[in-house]
Amino acid sequence: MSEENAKPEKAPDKEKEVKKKEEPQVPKYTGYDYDCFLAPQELLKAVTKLDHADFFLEDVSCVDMQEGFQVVYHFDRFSQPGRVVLRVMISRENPEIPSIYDIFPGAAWHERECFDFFGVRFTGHPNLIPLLLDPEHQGPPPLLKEETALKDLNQLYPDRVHTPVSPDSEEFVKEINNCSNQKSRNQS
Amino acid sequence: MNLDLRLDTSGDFYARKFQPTKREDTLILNMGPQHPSTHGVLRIILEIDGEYILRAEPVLGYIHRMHEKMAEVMSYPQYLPNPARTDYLHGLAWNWAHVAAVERLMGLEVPERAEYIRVITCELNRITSHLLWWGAYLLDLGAFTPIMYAFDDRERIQDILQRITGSRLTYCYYRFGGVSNDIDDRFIEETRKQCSRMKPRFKMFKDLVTDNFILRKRVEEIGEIPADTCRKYGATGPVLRGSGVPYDVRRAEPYSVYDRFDFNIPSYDTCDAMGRYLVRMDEMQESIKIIEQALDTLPEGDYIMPKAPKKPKPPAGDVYFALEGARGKIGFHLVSDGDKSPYRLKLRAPGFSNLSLFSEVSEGVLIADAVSILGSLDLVIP
Amino acid sequence: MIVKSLRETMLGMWSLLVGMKVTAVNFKSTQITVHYPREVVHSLEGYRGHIELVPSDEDPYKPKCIACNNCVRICPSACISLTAIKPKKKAAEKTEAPDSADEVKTKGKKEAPAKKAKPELESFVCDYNYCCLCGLCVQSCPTGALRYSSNVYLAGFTRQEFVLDLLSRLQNQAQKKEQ
Ligand code: SF4
Ligand code: SF4
Repeated sequence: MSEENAKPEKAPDKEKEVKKKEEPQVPKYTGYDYDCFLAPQELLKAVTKLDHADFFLEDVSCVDMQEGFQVVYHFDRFSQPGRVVLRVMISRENPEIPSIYDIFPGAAWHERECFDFFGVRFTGHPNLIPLLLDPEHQGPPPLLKEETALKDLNQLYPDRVHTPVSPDSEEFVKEINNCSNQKSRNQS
Repeated sequence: MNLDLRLDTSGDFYARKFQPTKREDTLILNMGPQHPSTHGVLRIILEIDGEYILRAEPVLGYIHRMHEKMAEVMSYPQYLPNPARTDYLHGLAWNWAHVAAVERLMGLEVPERAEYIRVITCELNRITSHLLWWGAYLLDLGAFTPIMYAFDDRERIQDILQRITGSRLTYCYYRFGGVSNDIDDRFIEETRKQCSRMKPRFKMFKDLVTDNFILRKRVEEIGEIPADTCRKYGATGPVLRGSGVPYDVRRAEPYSVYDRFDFNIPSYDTCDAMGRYLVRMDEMQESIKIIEQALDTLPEGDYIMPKAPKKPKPPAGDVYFALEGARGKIGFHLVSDGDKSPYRLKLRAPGFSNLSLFSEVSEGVLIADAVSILGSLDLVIP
Repeated sequence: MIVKSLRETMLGMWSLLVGMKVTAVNFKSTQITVHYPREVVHSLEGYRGHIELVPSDEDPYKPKCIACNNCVRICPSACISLTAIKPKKKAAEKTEAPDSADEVKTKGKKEAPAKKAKPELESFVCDYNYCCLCGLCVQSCPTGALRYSSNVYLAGFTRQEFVLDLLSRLQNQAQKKEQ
């Protein structure tokens, strides 16, 4: 993008150079059409709303960082494609989060996978047993990072807003209803 | 060493978990992990009443190789060969998802010619994947010959791909910013020849197998998956399209140059194994259409960016890249901290979501039909 | 009801006949498989076999390799290992002549700028057991000293057989050519 465009006109120097370094920080299209942070207790409410808006669950994953675990839920829609990502921060000491199994049964395995690899406990999950790991696996979950390797939110997502939104707010409802990848592609 | 040789009937961890809810008059049966119809190492614990399945629980992870962890300890180029190993039948799509996720994060512009080459090779690979599925599925259902026909075409395509990519199965062809090797006239000519060779073959496949009434009895009205179940479980790809939802990432979220080609998205609303079967058969023909269009409009230019990064260090941030693999939606969630290896890489394997609906669908069906359903999901286990 | 099922059966029988016809047509076509030990396939062009060293232009016994260690660093499976000796002149200048394998790293870096003093390859081993045939080493080599071999008919009884000494392989090849 920017680098390519900048090449033909070689004249502008310092200003452009600063820009060059900064601009790739924001990819043209990150693959997300709506990106929000949620408080753990409001997750179920938000997911129910997504269910009513006809979204399907792509996957549940988890990122280990300084502030704790970030559980990431990706949703997409068949009829009007657009990716919604919900991010929930939970603490490292007590990694508990409500399971969305009742709303999306397909989450069962994704949640078990997170439980395997990070030790996140999903409360209300009917069958939280190891899925991919050996049930006799000893030692810490494999994807946990060393203390020293952990990064914090600002290092990993420099350009995002980290304040949780409420799923009841109008903004959330509006965003998920209008979310479509066509729109965000054209914007950028 | 444990020398207690008394018969231990309690089973392993999963069997013990499964057992307590068993009814008095039923039997628990392990299907797999080395069962020929499970294509890989998949084990399914079944509770059966006569020939009917009451409950099923897949147990997996026998050959899980922790590619996600490997990504965290390897640098970006070192991880290039890995993704193709997660789905050995459609390796190029995974390879593509990986490089494209990194490209998206870095904002690299891939030369057009490279995009076209990617489309052509990826579609060729999709055909080989579907052909193998076709042969193997019929093998599961008891027909031995079709796989020979499938392999005839598959081998020819693999020969074509081998000349360009260097491998026949676990490809490592795409590079950040392009592909590793340009295609030449011979490739184009051979591909064209293969395309025109395959067109009448589909008619033959139809005569030979699809219309065969033994097959129809085995797949029609078997394993009905309503569209809403697909949505709840996140099933994608032919499984979803076999349930009447024409959702294809190539159209829904057009990546690369797919928006320039004219192709249909086959979908059947019968929701049964036949629907999924027909979707795949049609998809191969659509792939050929795409390949021919791409060959016709192949632009000149570089096959890799002139300044392609050898050792990329994407900026901090995260991206999601999804593309349509032969089995469904492949997703790469890449979180970078600006270092030479990813901070976290999450792979979304389509087969994972597709398989998770098996326990719901298989309730109350015959064991033989369960095999048919499993095959129609087109699983690649690792 | 009966008519319907009769009709279905007839159609089913017909579909079988159509299928048999396809089989019959193909039965007459020529054989396309290859009887492996008696014949081999020839379409190996472009195939990535295990890597091998490219001889230099002057001397077919000497590889082009400059022991820069690029390939060793990039290899995802860590299956290449090489050692090199310094050219004699340089070695004489220095008081302590390095001889162990772990010296190679520092050597490679130091030698790089001094172009004339090309370190000589002492051994170049590829552990084919771990190689994933990704081709990254071939691409990262600055001098084009690596290429893929078309040696695909490999079979052995022990792992040790696949730890390939590429330097002696190169010399064998050169010898064969001379003969
Ligand atoms: S092909 Fe790949 S795995 Fe094999 S030696 Fe080269 S870099 Fe290593
Ligand atoms: S990259 Fe090439 S020149 Fe450098 S050590 Fe490897 S083979 Fe030798």
